[in-house]
Amino acid sequence: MLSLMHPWWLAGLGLIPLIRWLHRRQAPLSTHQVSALFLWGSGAKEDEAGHSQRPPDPAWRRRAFFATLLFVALASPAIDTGVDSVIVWIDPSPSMQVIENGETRLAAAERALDSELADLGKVRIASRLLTSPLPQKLDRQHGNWLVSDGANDHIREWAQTSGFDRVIQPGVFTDNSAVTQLAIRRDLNDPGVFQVLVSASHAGDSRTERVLSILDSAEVLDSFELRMEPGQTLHRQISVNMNTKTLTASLGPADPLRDDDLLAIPFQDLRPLQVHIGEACPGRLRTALSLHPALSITSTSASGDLQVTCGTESASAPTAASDPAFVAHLHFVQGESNPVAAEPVWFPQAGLNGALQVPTGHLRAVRWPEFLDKAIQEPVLLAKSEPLILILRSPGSRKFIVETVIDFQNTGFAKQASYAGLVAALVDLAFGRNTLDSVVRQSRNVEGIAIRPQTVLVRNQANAADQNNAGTHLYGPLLLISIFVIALDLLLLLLMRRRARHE
Amino acid sequence: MAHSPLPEVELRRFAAVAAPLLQGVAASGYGSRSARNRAGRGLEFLDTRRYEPGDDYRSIDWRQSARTGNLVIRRYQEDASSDWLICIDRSASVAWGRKKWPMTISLATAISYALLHAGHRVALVFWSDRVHSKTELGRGTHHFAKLLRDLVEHRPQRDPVYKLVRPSNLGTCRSVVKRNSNLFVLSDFLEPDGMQRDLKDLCSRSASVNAIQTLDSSEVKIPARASLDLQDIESGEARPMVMTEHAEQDAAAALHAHNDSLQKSCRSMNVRLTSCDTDQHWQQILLRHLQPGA
Repeated sequence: MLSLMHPWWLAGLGLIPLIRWLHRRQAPLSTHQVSALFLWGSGAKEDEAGHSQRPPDPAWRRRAFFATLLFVALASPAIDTGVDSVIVWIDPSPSMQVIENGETRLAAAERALDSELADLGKVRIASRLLTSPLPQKLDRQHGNWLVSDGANDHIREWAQTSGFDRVIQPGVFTDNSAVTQLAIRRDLNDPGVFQVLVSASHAGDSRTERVLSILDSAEVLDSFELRMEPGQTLHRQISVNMNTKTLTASLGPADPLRDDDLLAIPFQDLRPLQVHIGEACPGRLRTALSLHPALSITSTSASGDLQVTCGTESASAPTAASDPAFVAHLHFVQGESNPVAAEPVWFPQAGLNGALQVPTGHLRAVRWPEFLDKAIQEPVLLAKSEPLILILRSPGSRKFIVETVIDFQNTGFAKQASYAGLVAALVDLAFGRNTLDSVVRQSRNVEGIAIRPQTVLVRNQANAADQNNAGTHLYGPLLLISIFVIALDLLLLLLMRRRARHE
Repeated sequence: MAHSPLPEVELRRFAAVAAPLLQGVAASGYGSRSARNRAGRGLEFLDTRRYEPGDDYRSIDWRQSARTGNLVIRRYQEDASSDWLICIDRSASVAWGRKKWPMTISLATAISYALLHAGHRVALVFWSDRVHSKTELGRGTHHFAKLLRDLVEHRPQRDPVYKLVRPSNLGTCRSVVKRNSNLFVLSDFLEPDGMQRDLKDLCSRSASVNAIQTLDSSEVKIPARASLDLQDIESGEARPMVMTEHAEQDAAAALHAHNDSLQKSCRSMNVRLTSCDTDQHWQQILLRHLQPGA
């Protein structure tokens, strides 16, 4: 079947009457005397008013033909090869969940899709979800249809260049507001208080007024009236205590896309971590751990989040298999004092912050033959010479074991500020995250809340990159013919001029 | 004597050839009289001479031929001379191009010379939309000099203002044509009706009418331009024209049809018409015209 890639070029055919008219209106080049005018009866005629009407220069046909060929060529006609199967690509963007006329955009699009697929008759249909990464190229052996409202810029731009054969495009509403961030962090001055930051954004064409509510389960902790301009993001902050269970931020009243009006954080993620400290550990270490704001010392050794043990040998460190209840484990090797004189160097994969300075006089050298004799895979902290200072192991999926040879019994070291900092860093290492000033955060992309439907051009409209595969294109031959016609016209003009000069 | 546009030697040679032929194109009538001692078509015996190739077999004197053993033909005395009016179209259309008017003058000169040489009386009439001048009938060398002066002095009429549409009007010669005189009409006959009505009118008044149509082959050619105004050289009427590949062919076809119609009409009126092109030689044209059965 013949199809046109850029059919709007055919509007240029409307210029053909103008071409004829222009050829009719041209002024005579000269006056030529003849012996008998009646012999030249096929010349111009006179209209009813007696004005002479010059018949158009016959060259107008040649030029109109040229213009026709040119415009048809620009319309890019192609003979479709035809497909017997269709792949339906579905846009999973949140905007497809916008409720319009009682149903989501996705549901409306599916209804339209069913209707159009029924018109196709017998074709094989497959559906694919547009997940990242988006495909580089569409399979032209099949028809490619897209179900999308075009609100997602990334998908829209990809679709424009991919060249879909058909786009089912639902969508009417353009305005949407959303809670785009809910973040909680411990108050640095009061470990029992948490600071909550809530962000709300508005995408659309007009100003909106919404109510932002912050709830603990069903209880409203605070609410704000927000007046938002298109593209504006507003932030609100409150403080909550540690008894909160589930913190929720919601926007009301409901808008077309309700899914993004809510963000929630289970508060137990912020409760103090349970630490059990072994009997052999020095008191200064126990004190340092008890002062850690994110830790809570427990006397029960049966369960908890972190087990701290101390011993003289590395082998005494418990493994995940022997103690499955603990998430993390810190083992302090307290062997004979053997201060390391060399400056420590962080192995690249070591998780500790390189800015943390540890006095070298308090480091002990302990030989761990099992690590030195084979290639070390785990992150370690080394002195400049051989001795290992710290090693991080992860024997199970959730277990972290940190072994260190730092002398935590040293009184001089314990009096220094870096002592508590090192303990906190080791705790972070054991948990694999920042426990001292952790921020729990739920957010959504501000650009992702846009629901404004935007046109996605189909293949015969888009500047598709791989049009060459779309079928047999005819614009090349048509352009060649049109160039030949205009060249012929120019040649005839040249010949006529030369003949006129001779005469 | 005005300088002749044609060499006298050629004129004399032509007159010798044309003299017997002129008998065929003229009709004797009122005012005609015998041309003494001139061989020609007549009833009065003149003499005999030996047969020469080209002589009419019917003129052979069989009795005398048997007696002498050679073929002898009988010659008769030219029995009449006629009055001839040479009507010359001097309208602007005859001035078109550079060849039509000189050709017309050459033809008129040769015809005049030949007619005078054959003993006829000749007068010239110059006409366009009206009769401009007419010389009186006369014969002899002096009269030829007078005719020649008229021929040289006259120029085609061109109205530079073109205020009035004034087509050629052959009918205007009616007033100067005597009954039963013989006419030679020299014109391009480029009027929409081909001057057929006027020719018919003149035929009714004249003993014989001969017409020579002078045309220029480039008359149906126009410059190869996309668009131009055509202007009638006689009337000044202008008309926008768009040049096409077929425009000249169409004009040539129109001219052909025009001539066909004129030819047919002349045949029905018993008018001997010869169309000629300016590229042809005047002798060739006139001899073709004077040939019996032309």
